[in-house]
Amino acid sequence: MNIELRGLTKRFGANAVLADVTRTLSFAHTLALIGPSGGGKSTLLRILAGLLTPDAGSVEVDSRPLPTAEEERRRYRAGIGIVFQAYNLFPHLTARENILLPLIQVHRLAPDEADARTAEVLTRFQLSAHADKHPAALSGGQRQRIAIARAVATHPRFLLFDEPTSALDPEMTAEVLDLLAELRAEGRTLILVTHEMGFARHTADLVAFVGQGTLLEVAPPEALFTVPSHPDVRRFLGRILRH
Amino acid sequence: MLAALFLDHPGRPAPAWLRVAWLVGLTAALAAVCWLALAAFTSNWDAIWERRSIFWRGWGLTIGISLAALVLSTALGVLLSLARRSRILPLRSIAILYVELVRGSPLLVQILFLWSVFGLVHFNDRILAGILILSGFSAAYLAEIIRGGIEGVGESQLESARAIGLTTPQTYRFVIFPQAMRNILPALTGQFASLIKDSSLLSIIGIEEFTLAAQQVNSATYSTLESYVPLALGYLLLTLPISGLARLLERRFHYEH
Repeated sequence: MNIELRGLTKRFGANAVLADVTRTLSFAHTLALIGPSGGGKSTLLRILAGLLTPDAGSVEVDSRPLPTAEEERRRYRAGIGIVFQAYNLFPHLTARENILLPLIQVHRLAPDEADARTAEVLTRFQLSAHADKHPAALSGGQRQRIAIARAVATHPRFLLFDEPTSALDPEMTAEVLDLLAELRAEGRTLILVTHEMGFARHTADLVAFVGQGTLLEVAPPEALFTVPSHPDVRRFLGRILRH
Repeated sequence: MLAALFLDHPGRPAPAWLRVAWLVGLTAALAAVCWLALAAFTSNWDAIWERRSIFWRGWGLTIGISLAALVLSTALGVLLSLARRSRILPLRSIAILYVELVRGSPLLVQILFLWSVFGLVHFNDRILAGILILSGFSAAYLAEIIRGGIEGVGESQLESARAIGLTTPQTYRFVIFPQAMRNILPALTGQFASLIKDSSLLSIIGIEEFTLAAQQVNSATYSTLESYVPLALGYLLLTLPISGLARLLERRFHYEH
């Protein structure tokens, strides 16, 4: 996958979270966005997801510019998969209904085809036993796996994850990270914002360090984690990898 | 030991039979007091019984007007609540002005004022006018209840809906309204019960609904209590099932967060 950022700028009030970022990100399957909180990595992911519009500049994904008109952006979002930190699922619907909703209402699948696809992802992610439970009856890890199943069921071009494990305890984190590793092994394209440095290091093909409103360093994980060249990246990694 | 008959708390929940017993017992006691009072102060029940058809007709009309106003005011209330959230400023201003004026002034004045306005344009169908006025009144309250419900649905839910590609109307239909519904159900049914009772004010423009029927019987028989006690019972017969229905629906919409 190839992502071209040209003069990308996003402000919230007077604060430029991304300031005139120009960079090409080329990677085989998995891109990890890391960096300090408030550094702009979630903002970048939300722009790539078509959820936020930049104030200036442009983004191209595989030579196709991101749409700007809302209806086109909606269709773009429907064609990819997005999973947030928490509260992805609709609490008034069961796990199965959560997966069915976009298949029927957005992708206009026939009911039996939607049922078949839902059953397929539930089986594949070992969630069949929980199909008829409401989110409140599921653990945090199960909820995230259902949210990932919902995204995968729509056959997305690629998948975006915004800190998918940061609201989970360690055991559940492992269960979700295993699933992500599995998706990567299937050859899917994943872009994720993560605080799990070990996971980024072992799974990502390319790591981008987002901070101070720009991409401070972009490198394959081995290089970035062992010999970071930017002093701020060195300091950040030194602090969090010390423990 | 004796306290166990009076208390219900999470540490020691009262059994179901005890909770029912309290309700039934108090109802029976209340009925006995009413019965004694009525036995002491009323005597002319025969004259009332003779005029029962007036009550029936009035009650029927009250049900009809309330049902029509319930449907119409719900539709209007939803539209108003959406207008109140609209990005189009004039639309939002109209909704705010409407809600504040209608909620801030007495229904009695609204009925008299609008009935004269209708008269000016030669619109003289009392019942239809009554339904419209009552709907317009109740819609202002419903709009605020519904708006509160919509705004109570979390930002994360809206973002999830956008993320999976739902359109705005689909987001309202499949995500916002079902969740808002559960939160506003108690307030909503309370408003519906109020609407039924508020319809009694339509008697002042000569609509022969339940309250006017009681007034007519009263002036014919000079038996005030005898005329108005059936009125209370008749309204309770309509409002109590609404509370029951509300509890049923609350259970149906129940899910944990």
